[in-house]
Order: sequence, then structure tokens, then C-alpha cells
Amino acid sequence: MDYEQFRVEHDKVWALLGEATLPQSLPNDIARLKEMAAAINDPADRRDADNMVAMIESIVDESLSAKDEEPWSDAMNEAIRVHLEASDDSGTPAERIARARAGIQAIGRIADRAPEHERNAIIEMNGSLLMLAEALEPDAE
Amino acid sequence: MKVTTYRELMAEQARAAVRVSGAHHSSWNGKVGATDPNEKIRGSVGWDHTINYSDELVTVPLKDMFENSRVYNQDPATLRSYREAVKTVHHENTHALAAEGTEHVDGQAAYQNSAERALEEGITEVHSYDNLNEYIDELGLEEIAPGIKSAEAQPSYDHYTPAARRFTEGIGRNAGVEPSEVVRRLAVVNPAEKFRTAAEVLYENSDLPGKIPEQEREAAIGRIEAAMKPSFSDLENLKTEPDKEKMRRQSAIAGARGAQAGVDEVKALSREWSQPAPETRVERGVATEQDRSNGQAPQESAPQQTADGAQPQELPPDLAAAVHASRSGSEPLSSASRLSEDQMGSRRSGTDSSPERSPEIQR
Repeated sequence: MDYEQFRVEHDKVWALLGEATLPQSLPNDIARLKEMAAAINDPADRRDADNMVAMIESIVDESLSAKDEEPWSDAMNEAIRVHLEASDDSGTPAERIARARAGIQAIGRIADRAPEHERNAIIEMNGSLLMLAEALEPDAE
Repeated sequence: MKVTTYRELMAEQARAAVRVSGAHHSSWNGKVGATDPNEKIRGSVGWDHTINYSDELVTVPLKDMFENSRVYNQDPATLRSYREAVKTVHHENTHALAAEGTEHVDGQAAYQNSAERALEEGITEVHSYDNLNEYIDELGLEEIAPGIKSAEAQPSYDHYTPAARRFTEGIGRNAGVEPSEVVRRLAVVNPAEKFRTAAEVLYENSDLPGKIPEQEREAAIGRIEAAMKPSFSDLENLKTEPDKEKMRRQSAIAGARGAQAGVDEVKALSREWSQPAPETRVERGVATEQDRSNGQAPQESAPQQTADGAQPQELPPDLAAAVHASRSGSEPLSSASRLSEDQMGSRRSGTDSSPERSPEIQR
């Protein structure tokens, strides 16, 4: 087994991580990748392959722990979407500042109706929008 | 230093963050302001290095915490408000950490870019959240608010932190450095230096230093850095993900892809420098010898922009004096410690451009 052969198979499994739902076959796929990685002759390549399989497992763990936890409220889902839109890199500095400032106001309103345990985590995101708006100000003048 | 008043906490906030992280210094200018009450913002670091807090959401709970000093069995909601306020203080002070010869403002242009901004916020949140109890211990706040260390406080930036965690995990695993140590090294540099620091960790712990002459080092690290950034720009696309599981998974994938892109670039560089053309081999050999004979240190010099030296203007005189004393270095901190080479996980020794090695805390 050489690294390139492993990489082809790894990339197929990696693509599955982006599916809407993680496929049932994933544990078997990971086990197969582990066997392939162990059969790589070159020690440095084998180590790299082991690391790549470990990362797939970490992403699966991220997914499982997110499923185990309490889902975000609608307010948190909306706040994150607003934060990402308000952080968008497109447009002139003035447009971007206006977008970030509007995002701050919108996230403030969302926080008002968010569950108490999520409220401060939502408001915390406004700090980065303010830093962004202030970072852009010299370019907008 | 243990603090017993709100004023002492404000005076000590940056030095405690420096001690917890091992950063070279904090860029904080000693001023504490208030965020605009018309905007719901818990805290922010201005590009002039003033730290601002919300009166309602941060300052009031912190003052209450000291007014209720040493009161036991406070209700969970009160303790949570204290912990969340201290978390905000630690988050903002983590933003202000900087390497020798650099300041937070040196990252102002980089912060305009989605990739650098996502990594800055992801790393700052992971470091400040994971080390919050160390920060509380450093300030002695468990004695002020018994129970604060075990109170709940929600993490924030959940769309960036999975990327930051998997990115540092991937870098760390490949470099043989603990992921928490990679987080720390990225936390103590400004937004413009985080990807570069990650690239340096990969480079220094690979076979590249033995293959690539010193004068090519910066270009090689630049290639690794450039390879890692695009996946973080992709985090903007998370807004189409419908829920927590998918958003966190996609964020994790982006961070892992960034690390893998860096590792792949290291491998590509290693191949390129393994089989040079004969004439190139001679040139590189000569160049390396010249470096040695000239004693050159061809590492890129760090930005030299310095803070404006602004003195505290909004603090009472005793506090201003304390801040001045700390910035002038007249108050060494016994708890600051230098990490060993083992702890740093780097092969490097001797001349060292790593910005966070010095235990000095404030210039």
C-alpha cells in the first residue's frame, strides 16, 4: 500500500463527512481506512495517514457531541446567520460598516427574545462586528 | 495577583491574561471605557487599544460581585452572570495579547478579511473559554465569588470554534505539539500573525529546516500560510446550514481542511527540496554556507509599530499609577514562567523569533 492509494480512498470517505446526514457506513469506512493506513510501508506516510483518519474521527465526534447537546434555540440559529451575513467581506468599506452596524442592532433584538442561557453568548458575537466596523473606518473616510 | 476590588480587577485584567497565556505583552493602553448603550455589545478592544465593556452586562455584574464579596451559596443565575462577565473580560484581554515588537493594531487590516477574522475569534474564544478557571485563579476570584469556577457560562462563536479546534488539532498532531499549546501560540499573536504562526509550527516540526536554506524559509512558510487560509474564508458559507449539528460539523471540516492544506504544502515543499537540479543544489549549498559565514539571521523582522504610549486617562490616580508601573516594568511578576523547549514542542533552539517565549508581560 502506498500513500497515494490511501489518499484516494481517504478522499472518498472525507467527502461523506459533508453529506446532509452522516452515512451509516461511516464506522466501517473508517475501520477500512485504518487498515489501509497501517499497511503503508513508509513510516512518515503511515503517520500522516494515521493522522488523517484520526481527524475524520474527530469530525464524527464533533457531530455526535452536537447531536447529544441541547439544540440551539431559533434565536441562536438566527443570530449566527445574521452574524455571518453582517461579517460578509463584499462591498465597499462604507457598505461593510453599515452592514456590520445593522447586524449589531439585529443581534441585539434577537438576544432580547433568546432563552436566558444563550443570551450572553449571542450578544458576545457583536464584539467582533464592532471590531470589524472600526477596522474598516479608516478605509471608509 | 489576587484582586479584592473592581478597580484592582480592571488594573490587573491584562497582566493576568498575559500570565495565563505566557504572551509577551498586552497591547491594552490602560484605558477602560463603556460600550455604546444603544448597541448591545458586552465588550470590545478598540484599535487604539482601549478596552470597552457594557455597563449593564459586564461592569454592573462585576461591581456586584465585589459588593457581595465572600458571600457563599449565591444562586446559580447570579454566579453565571459573574462568570459570564469575567469570561468577557478574559476574551477581550486575549484579543489584546501581542508578540514582541508587535501590537494588536498591527492586525487591523487583516481583521477585515473573513479568514483571519474567523480564526481570530475562534482562537480567542477557545483560549479564553478553556482557560477561564486559570484566569479566575490568577485573579483570586473564587475567593470573592465562591462557586464562580463551577458556574455555567455558555461558550460563544460556536460557528467558528469547531474550525479553530480542529485546525489546531490537525496542526498539533502533525507537528507533535499539544493542540492546546497550538491554541496558546495563536492566541498570543495579533490577527495578522495567527496563520503565519500556525505555518511556523508546521514548518519547524517538519523535515523542512534541514532541507531549505534560511533565506528561503520565509517564502516557504508564506506558502504554507497561504494554503491554509481559503478554508477559513469558506466559513462564510455556513449561513446556509440549517442547525447546530450541521453548522458545527461543517465548521470542523473547514478547520481540518485548513490544517491538511498546510500539511500537504509541507509535503510538497519537502519533495521540491529533496531532488534539486544539480546546478540548483550547488547554489543552495553556497547560499547556506554564506549565511553561516555571515551570521545572517534572514528571518523576517516583525512589524515595529509601537503603541502611542497613551497613559490612562479615565482611571483614578492610584489605578493609573499602578498601570504605569506595570507598563514600565517596575513590577515584575513572579508567576510568569518561561516554557521549556519540550513544552513548546519545537525543534528550534538558539536564536528564536518565536514571539511568545519571553516571560516579560508589559513593556
